[in-house]
Amino acid sequence: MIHLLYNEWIKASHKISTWLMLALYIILTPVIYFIFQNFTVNIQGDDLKVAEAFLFNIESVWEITTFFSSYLVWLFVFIIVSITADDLRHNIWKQHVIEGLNRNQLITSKIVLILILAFFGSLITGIVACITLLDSGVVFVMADLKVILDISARYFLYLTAIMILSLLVVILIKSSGLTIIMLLGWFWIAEPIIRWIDKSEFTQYLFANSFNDLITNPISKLMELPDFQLASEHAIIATVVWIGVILGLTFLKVNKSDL
Amino acid sequence: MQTILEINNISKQYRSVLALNQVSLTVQQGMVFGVLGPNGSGKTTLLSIILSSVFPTSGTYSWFGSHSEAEARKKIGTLLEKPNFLPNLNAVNNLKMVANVKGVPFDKISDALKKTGMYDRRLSKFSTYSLGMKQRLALAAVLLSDPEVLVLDEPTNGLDPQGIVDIRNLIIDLSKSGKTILLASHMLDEVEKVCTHVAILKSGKLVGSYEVGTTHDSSIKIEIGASDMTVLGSYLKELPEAKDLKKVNGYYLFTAHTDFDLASLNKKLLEQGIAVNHLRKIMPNLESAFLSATGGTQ
Repeated sequence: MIHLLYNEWIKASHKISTWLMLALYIILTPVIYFIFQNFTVNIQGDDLKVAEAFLFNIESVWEITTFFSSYLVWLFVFIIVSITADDLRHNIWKQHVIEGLNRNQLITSKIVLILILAFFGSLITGIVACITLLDSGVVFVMADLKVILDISARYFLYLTAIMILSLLVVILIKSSGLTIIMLLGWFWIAEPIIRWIDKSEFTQYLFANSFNDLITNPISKLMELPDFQLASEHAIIATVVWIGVILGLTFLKVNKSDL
Repeated sequence: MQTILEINNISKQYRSVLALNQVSLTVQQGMVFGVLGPNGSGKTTLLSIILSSVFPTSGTYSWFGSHSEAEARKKIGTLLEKPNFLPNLNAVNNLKMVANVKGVPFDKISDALKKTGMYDRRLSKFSTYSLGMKQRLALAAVLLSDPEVLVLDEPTNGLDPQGIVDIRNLIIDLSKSGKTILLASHMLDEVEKVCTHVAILKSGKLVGSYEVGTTHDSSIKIEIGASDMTVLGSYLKELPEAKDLKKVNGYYLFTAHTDFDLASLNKKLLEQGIAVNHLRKIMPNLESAFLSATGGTQ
């Protein structure tokens, strides 16, 4: 597996877009958080910065950073989609199979790459949250570790789920641009419309909503607005089931199709 | 002699098109086996199936008598009509990926690049290479793992004359070193020059299988002329051994069995008072075998 991962590294590291996307993630994660903190809200006639208006604790800091970072998942999606589309466009998968790989290894190496990117994304978000905590002087207690691990694990699962979905879609469509347009279209337009039309519990478990509900919306929480999200455990179970279905379809597609 | 590849009744259907129809072949160790056929005859489909990139609709194949396909493919080097490499990577990085898949140490990359004359351009991106250079890089990838078997699909397509000679010489050199080679081509002279055995495909069906250099066909052509062509024609029409009699370029041309005795014919014609002034036996070659098998005309 290490040598297959090394091949993924060769492919990813020689694409300018990979470095650009990673750099954007590293830069934008703290920048968005910084902008949010300095956003002014009007409370009882006083204009206050968000950081001053609300009592921040470790949980809220972690939830805010993961919430805003979650919008940057598309940078990782771009990396996966771009590398896979290159493989398909230039018949690299076909060549790898001819040279002696089996089809499951092609998918497995991509899944490992996705896990590494998801870990990297979670780590960067965690580092930003830690820096923010140090800056704000919030006191850390051991009980907070469980909260941090829970939020980070859900964020890791969120990144993994969306990237695995993007892998399946790019294998089906074979075009990076179209894949990203379709995914964005589904996540931001199609599924919200479906859920707006059909407000049944079933539509809550569509994949985009299941994935999104892994991330707590800190704004609703801070403003004490009604929570329309799935309970954390339900979102986790739904996402894990979706990941299983998507992976199953991916392996099926690659193992049953001509290259 | 060890059986390297055994193909049993392989068929491939693409929607309404039957690309391969019940093809069976056996390739033994040390053979240079040519798969000959016109464009669209199913050669590339057959190679794609035995290299596992395309699934057969029915039929089976096995490499080295085993069913462990992926491991078997690591012993096979391939040179395809269009080399598959990533355009944004240089030669070294593209070969590193091949070496990783084949389980070959990276220190063999320099040697392979030197042998194929690509060492000086090793750091240039693949997208900047000419077609000839791309083929040389594919060749370097083949040499990297010192494979037991080579599968070549139209390897000289698009190459300049020097490139064609280089590839041809390489095939001959490799076959001399005992490698088994499977070559798909629509170029008769290419196959005839390098192959020991040939199978002919037409519209996905195997229509002939021969050993090159031996008689491919049990028939020969006889070209004959005489001072009085009318009398000669009448005599030949009555001759039971003369098949497909026709007049071509002022001579009679007919098909006969390979053991047809020309001296005896000449003697009989003399006895009939027919003075023969032109008599030629046309031995069958791969071209005639190919045309006969595919229904083409000379």
